[in-house]
Amino acid sequence: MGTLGYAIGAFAPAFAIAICCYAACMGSARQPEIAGRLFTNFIIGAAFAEALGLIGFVALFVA
Amino acid sequence: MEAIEALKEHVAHLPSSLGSKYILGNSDFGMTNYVFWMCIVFVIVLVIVLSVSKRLTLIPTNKFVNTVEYGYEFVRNQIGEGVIGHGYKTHIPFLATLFFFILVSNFVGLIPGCKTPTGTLSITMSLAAVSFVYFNFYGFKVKGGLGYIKSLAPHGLPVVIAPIVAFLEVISICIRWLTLSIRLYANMFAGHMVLGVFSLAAGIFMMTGIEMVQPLVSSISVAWVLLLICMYALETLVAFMQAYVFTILSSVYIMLAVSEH
Repeated sequence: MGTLGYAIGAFAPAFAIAICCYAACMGSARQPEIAGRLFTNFIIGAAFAEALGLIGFVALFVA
Repeated sequence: MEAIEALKEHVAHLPSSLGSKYILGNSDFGMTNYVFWMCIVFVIVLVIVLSVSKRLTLIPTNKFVNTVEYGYEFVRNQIGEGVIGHGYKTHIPFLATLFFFILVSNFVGLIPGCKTPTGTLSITMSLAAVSFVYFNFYGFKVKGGLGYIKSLAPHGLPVVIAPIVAFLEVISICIRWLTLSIRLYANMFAGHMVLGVFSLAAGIFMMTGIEMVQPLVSSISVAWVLLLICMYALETLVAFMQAYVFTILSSVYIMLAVSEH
């Protein structure tokens, strides 16, 4: 049950990271010279989105 | 089918084999295998960095020295200057230490028989605690005690809303400690679990095939080994990425703590 709950909880962060990655790839393709800065921003954005998934991961062990 | 049953039985023991074990002393005062490997990683990092720093030359001649120097420059230019910006030089020693320590400990775990120190929550949590204390300390140092607390809520908010925003900000700062540690631990632990399952599967399918005289079952283990090699390559990437992500997030938090707005 807990595993199923975590699977549902990981759903939204997965989409969020996918959108981050999509936007970073599109941006890099359109303007390759700022790809480095976009990658940094992608990592930061993905980290904030991933935080929700990680809290779910902790809740799996706590509950 | 016997192979899958045997695999299930063996996989159930895998998480406990990745857990901490006391190799010295007991729970009152002792040393777990992860702490032991952390000490080894300390020694490796010290030896690498000190020996390289003695041999630095203006024109690079030694390939190893040049590689380590590239790693340092990567931290300084990509992580420090790119994220923190003005006044980044103060934080480079801290960020480079974090980066090299996490990188070496992640890579040590990829060697069969070795344990990755970052594969246990206690060590990643203490690393995150160091980073947490560091960025809060610099926030207080640069902005002053009251200034840092004031900077939690943006300028010009109505008096009623400011405490609520500051409260949410305090929660998000405290969660940074948790997420930094869990991210590193979960990635390392999950990676080693996947490698463990695949290598167990390769061995068990091979043994069952030989015992039951079924060449087809044995030949499946070749596919497991190929999959294992692919996952190993992915884990090598993850080992680098997690060191990079931990360092860049620490520098982002430092930047957020010391920037003037």
